[in-house]
Amino acid sequence: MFKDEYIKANENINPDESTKRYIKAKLSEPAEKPAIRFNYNAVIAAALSLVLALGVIFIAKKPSFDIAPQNLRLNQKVTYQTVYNTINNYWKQYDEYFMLREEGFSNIKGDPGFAVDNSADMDDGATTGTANTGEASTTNNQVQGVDEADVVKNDGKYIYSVKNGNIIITDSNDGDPKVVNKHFLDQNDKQVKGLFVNGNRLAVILSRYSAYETTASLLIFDITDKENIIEIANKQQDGWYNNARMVGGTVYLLSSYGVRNDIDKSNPETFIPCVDGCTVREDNISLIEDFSSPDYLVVSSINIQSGEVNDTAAVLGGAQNVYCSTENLYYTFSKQNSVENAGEVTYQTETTIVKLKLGEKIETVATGNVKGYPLNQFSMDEYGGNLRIVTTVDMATYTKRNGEIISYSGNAATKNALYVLDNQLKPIGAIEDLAENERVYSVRFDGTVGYFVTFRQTDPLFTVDLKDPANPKILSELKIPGFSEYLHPYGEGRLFGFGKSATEQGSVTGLKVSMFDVSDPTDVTELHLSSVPADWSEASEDHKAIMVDAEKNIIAFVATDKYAKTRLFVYGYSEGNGFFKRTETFISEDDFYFGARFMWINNHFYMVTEDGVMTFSLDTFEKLSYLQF
Amino acid sequence: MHNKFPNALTIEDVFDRYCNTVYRLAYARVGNKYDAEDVLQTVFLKLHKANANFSDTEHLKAWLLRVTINCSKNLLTSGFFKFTEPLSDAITAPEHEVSDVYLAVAKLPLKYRTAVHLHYFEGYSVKEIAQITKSNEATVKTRLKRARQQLELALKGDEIYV
Repeated sequence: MFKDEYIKANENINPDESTKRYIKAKLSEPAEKPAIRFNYNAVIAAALSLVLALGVIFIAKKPSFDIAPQNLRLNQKVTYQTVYNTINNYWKQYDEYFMLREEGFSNIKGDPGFAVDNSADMDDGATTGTANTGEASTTNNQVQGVDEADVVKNDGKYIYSVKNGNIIITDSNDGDPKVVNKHFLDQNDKQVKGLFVNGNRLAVILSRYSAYETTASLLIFDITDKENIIEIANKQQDGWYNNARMVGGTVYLLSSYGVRNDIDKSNPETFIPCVDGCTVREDNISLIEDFSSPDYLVVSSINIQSGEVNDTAAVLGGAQNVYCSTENLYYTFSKQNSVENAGEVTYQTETTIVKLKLGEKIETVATGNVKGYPLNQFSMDEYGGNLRIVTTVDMATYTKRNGEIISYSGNAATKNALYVLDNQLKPIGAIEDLAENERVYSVRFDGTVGYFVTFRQTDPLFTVDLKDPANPKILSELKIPGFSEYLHPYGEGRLFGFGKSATEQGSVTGLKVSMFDVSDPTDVTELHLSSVPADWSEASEDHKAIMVDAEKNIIAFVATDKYAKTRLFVYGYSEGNGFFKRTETFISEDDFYFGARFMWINNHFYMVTEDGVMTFSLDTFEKLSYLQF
Repeated sequence: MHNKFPNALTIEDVFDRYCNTVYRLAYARVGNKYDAEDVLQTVFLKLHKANANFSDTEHLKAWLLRVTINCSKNLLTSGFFKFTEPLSDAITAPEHEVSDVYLAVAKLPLKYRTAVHLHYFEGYSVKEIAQITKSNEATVKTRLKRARQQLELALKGDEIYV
């Protein structure tokens, strides 16, 4: 147990008491430069990405307070002038904060790559399965009818993937795959982030981060002739690639555009994003008052057939998690707020949700606020016009006397909550104060029922009844060791969970698969579990890296064991015997293996990676061939 | 005076809470007690003087780790270190009682042992380590992978868990 021993060894490594006393004495002298006093929110803004990336750890004690989230208002009637003033004001405060720069932590805001790429699930992927011939699986999309971009797609016959800046088109050819085209993109220093396929169109999402230019672009190809694909459009927008969805024949490309601090009032190009060569018009811009960072979320709708940009919306105020239904797009950003009350200051994480209506025209509809922060896109779900969101709330309270914070009063906790918001994002129902001192590890909504897993030592799977949106009720709470990081409904009355097993004391031992019986939501039980002989899988972090298909009885993912061997695991499930292995196939000595995707087309199962296509029989999971790209 | 630390911590609280964190990373990097103590002092004096505001303890901790890396880097690239023996030898006679596992880590190249320390001891993910060390994720992944391979060789028979 390397990790345990390394931790144990480190526990012996401590500075001497005398050294500690010496340094502490030095620290008790006043610092040479007094700290500049300034707006707390701006500080949080700057470090916000970090809050989300690393989570917030508090010492667990029972809290004795409750504060309402601050309401951030949406301003939809803005001019370039108001945008300029807002951003300029932000940077003034920010510069003070940025005295940090010389200490080597300047990346918090300056580097576009750093700031946003951290909320659990920004990257995305998927396929609508416009089947060319026969039947085929699609990307593991969250919402039916909303395709998520991914690095591998299929159209029921051809497989589209990416390698070293090439688009590779492989004919699945009934289990005998053949590469029909390697199309070099010739897009120097742009990275392919995902693909969409729709009939005779292939859309390729590219992203470029550089000091001079940060852009997201969408290339559209006519793929009628697979051997000779023709580029018909190249649409580019400012900002780094954040997310993309395809609903029907429309691709929604999302980028996050951070405004620099050298803006020029007379030149809107310096503080307004540009889409397809044009600066976004004033009437397409909204602004969230008291925003947390001067980042726009830029959303363009692009018709995949014509390659034309239908509409664009830009909202100033930062974006982290994105959830998209067939009609609306929701995104969140979180910040920490403080509230003073009777000699105590309470800090609490809060999240603002922004709702955009999709269609020919993209409209900013509303903003809403809840306590806590969501885990990822699965934390949100739209149902009957309402949005449901599960959050983890971090709080801490400190005592204040004569205007100065004097001590930590011991009131700190994490709690979890579920909110139901109406179509204007006004809260109509809530369950708060759940699973104290734990945090959310996975969420899944299934119509009027919601499931979520929190974890500290054991894994309570909560089942929530959402039939009456104003009165969500906890139906059951199942406690088992370990936790699930991904939940997926598995046929009638069953819920599949992929996660980590743990001892009763809460230390993680490896990967596991679980099947829950949810047929009686008031009495959910774990029917079967099986530990997977591996420690790490991309599927823990990205739902597109796992295939869960109840109809074909396939649970497929790639995982790496402690000897750094990476294997493909395919499990099946039977009511009588639980999980059984359909195949376990060695694929690589590569540790932290990323990018394997799974699909079935007619009677064959394919694993597609950057390196090639491995073909299996869909019935027996016998390995048939391996085609190297 | 306005408090720059989250959760109303004072500089002394911050020191009490994070001195081991900083010291252990510094020790993993510089490999001896005296330099690690030097880094510890420099880091906290910088913190004391910094015109900084921290939104929460994780921001603060990440800042401290980042500055620890910088300070020990300055030390390691300074003239003194250039003319001394390689670290791996320096640490084989450690001032702290450590196990074979720790010594095996100490023999790894600097970049690897930084990644190993942040991953296995501090529990940061690849993504987070990339942010703290200002490298890209692929680089961190490769470092961890190579570190694991070398550790496996060095600790024949011992199992390395992620």
